Amino acid sequence: MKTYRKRLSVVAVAASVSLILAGCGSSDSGSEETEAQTEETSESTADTEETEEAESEDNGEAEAPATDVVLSDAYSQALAEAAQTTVDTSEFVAEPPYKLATITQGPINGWGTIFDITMDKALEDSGVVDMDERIYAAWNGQTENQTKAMDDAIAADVDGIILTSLSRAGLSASVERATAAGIPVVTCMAGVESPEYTAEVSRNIPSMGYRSMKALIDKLGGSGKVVLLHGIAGVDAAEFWKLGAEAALAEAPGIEVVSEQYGNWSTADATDVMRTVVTQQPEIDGIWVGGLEMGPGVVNAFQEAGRDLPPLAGTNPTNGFLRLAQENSLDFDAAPFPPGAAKECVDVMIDLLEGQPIQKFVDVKDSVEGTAPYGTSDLETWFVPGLNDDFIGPLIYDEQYYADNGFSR
Amino acid sequence: MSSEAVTPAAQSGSNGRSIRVFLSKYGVVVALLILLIAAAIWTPSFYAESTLRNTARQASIIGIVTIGQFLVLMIRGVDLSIPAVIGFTAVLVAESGPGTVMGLVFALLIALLVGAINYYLVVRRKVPAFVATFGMLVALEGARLAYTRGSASGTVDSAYISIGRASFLGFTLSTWVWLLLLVAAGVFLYRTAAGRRMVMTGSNPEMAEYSGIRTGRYFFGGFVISALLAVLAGVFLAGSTGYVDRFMGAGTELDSITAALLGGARFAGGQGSLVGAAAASFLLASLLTVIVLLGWSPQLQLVAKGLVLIAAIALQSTVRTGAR
Repeated sequence: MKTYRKRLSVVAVAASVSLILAGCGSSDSGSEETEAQTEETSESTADTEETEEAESEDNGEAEAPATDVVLSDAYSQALAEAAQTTVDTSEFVAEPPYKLATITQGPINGWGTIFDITMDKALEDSGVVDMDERIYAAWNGQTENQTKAMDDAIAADVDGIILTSLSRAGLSASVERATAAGIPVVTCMAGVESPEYTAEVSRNIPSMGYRSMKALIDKLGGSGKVVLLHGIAGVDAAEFWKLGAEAALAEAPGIEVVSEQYGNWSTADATDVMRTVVTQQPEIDGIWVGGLEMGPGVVNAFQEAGRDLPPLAGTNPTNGFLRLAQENSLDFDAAPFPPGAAKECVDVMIDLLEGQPIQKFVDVKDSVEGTAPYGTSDLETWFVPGLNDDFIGPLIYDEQYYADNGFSR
Repeated sequence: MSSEAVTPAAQSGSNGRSIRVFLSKYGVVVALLILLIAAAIWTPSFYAESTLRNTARQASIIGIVTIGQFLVLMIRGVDLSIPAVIGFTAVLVAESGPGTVMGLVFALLIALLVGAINYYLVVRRKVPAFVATFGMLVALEGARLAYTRGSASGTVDSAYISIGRASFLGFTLSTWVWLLLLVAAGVFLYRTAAGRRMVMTGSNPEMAEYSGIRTGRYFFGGFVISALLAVLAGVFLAGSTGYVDRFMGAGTELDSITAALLGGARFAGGQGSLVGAAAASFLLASLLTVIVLLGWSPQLQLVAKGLVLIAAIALQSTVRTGAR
């Protein structure tokens, strides 16, 4: 498994380097050699996309490109740079059993619960973590809970900290303090603004927005009227997904955004705004949703109005959304944001404490199966009928484990 | 100068005071009318049958809980536990098996308990209502989380969807129920001796006690009715949405307080207009619809919503200050 992961990491790094070079090609600062490499890379990327498009036509549906793009925002650029950086872990080597702190979102929703129970099992199964000495703290709605837990972990001189930061700015100083104290910090599915973290295990969040929107644009043949439904204004994930979607739209002049709303990741709010939008807009060719937990609201609004649902694309498909997609034969594309990646975070932390080299940014898309964007044709693969609507795949452990922990239907 | 002589200046002052008094009572109605006229000019599709029905449905959910909040404010309290009651109701309703009402029965029992505990804490233990009901909100949210183990989402039984989406004479059942409750609450408060005693309890609790009014039952009634109306709103919201998630009911405490305050209610108790609170509920829902129809950017939507609400309440405040 580890060999497979390393191989994928090498591929990911190579792809990222190619894409960075491709990005440099659009600037004026590249050398002749770089320009030559860029041209070569651009051609190969174009070739890949053409091949995929040809395959897609055979399958009767459009698919997103297989490689991520590197957007121009600071976050995306920092991730691209981190993906090329190998961390020297020799200074963090420790003797097992390891004393770890895990500071997470907490079980306030399905995502947070799956994250926690997956991490618990990964830590237990590793056999090298002292579970009695483990420090666990949850966000539970307050950044202060996480900053205090970071200070507690530093004071306890833990071997490592796994952090799901719910405030990129608010946790930066805490991460810097931990690093200064010689404690490695692996940020897991949500990072910090400071570059002082040891490694980040996550998805490239803006690219999720980009790829899902690109898939919708491709499905519409590059022209049509679309509606955008975002999460909560100002929240990192919502804004990064939006950023990516806007980048894809900027490349598609034939697409007209006829309405753009915030649904607050709430089905009721999403239903309310979509009812109004559906009434107002007689022609909607596609819908992009930044957080497909709002998908039921979109489906409700169209069904109430007696209208056919247009193609749908978005991020973070829940099991509930996939169930509705199956029941209503939805045509969709989705970019997952899997809580099960908590296991990957544990694996990276253990690799780190064993002194193995790790990448500063590990994109779980390359290491966790079922994390790459998928579409309607893969619905049967990733929908888990035996688990409830709050489950968010892919399954990292067997179905019964999640059923026993509150996700049985 | 004779004190009985009416100068132009005095006439003007009298007219000005009349306008101020009118606006202090009906300022929110005027604000709503301005919004409706603006909608007619800039977004005529606001008056499409389905848009009006949906707006009225949204207003009815806010409006139903606002009646409860209004009664609690009338007795110098405030109820922040409303969203938790709505959320718990939605979960229980979603988990009800087909054709069963056990979820609803449990929700009503929980509401009775919540109302009774709020009353006990605020009246018997003298805990400030803001703190007591906020504590209840947190406790109930925690209980819901423990009960659902973080998995609150699911489709609502078709019977509740039928209730939530039922229409009669062009408007949803929730809208008609809201209007009936408004009439009932109005008749109770302003046309019955018990209602007048409740108003007096809020205006001056000590005086009410000295007058022999058993104020405890009005405090108890206010909190319990607010919790029960939250259950009703939860049933309509879950049924109308057809799907339940952890955000169900979020923000209803602030919407209901805003609507009640715009309707003239005050934290000092004993004041306010139910008609004004109802108009404010419709104003809040209409504002959302109009902004969406205007196609403003999401960021501008939030700014506009905030500014309109500040303007509406500032109008009343200015009028009250000027009237002194």
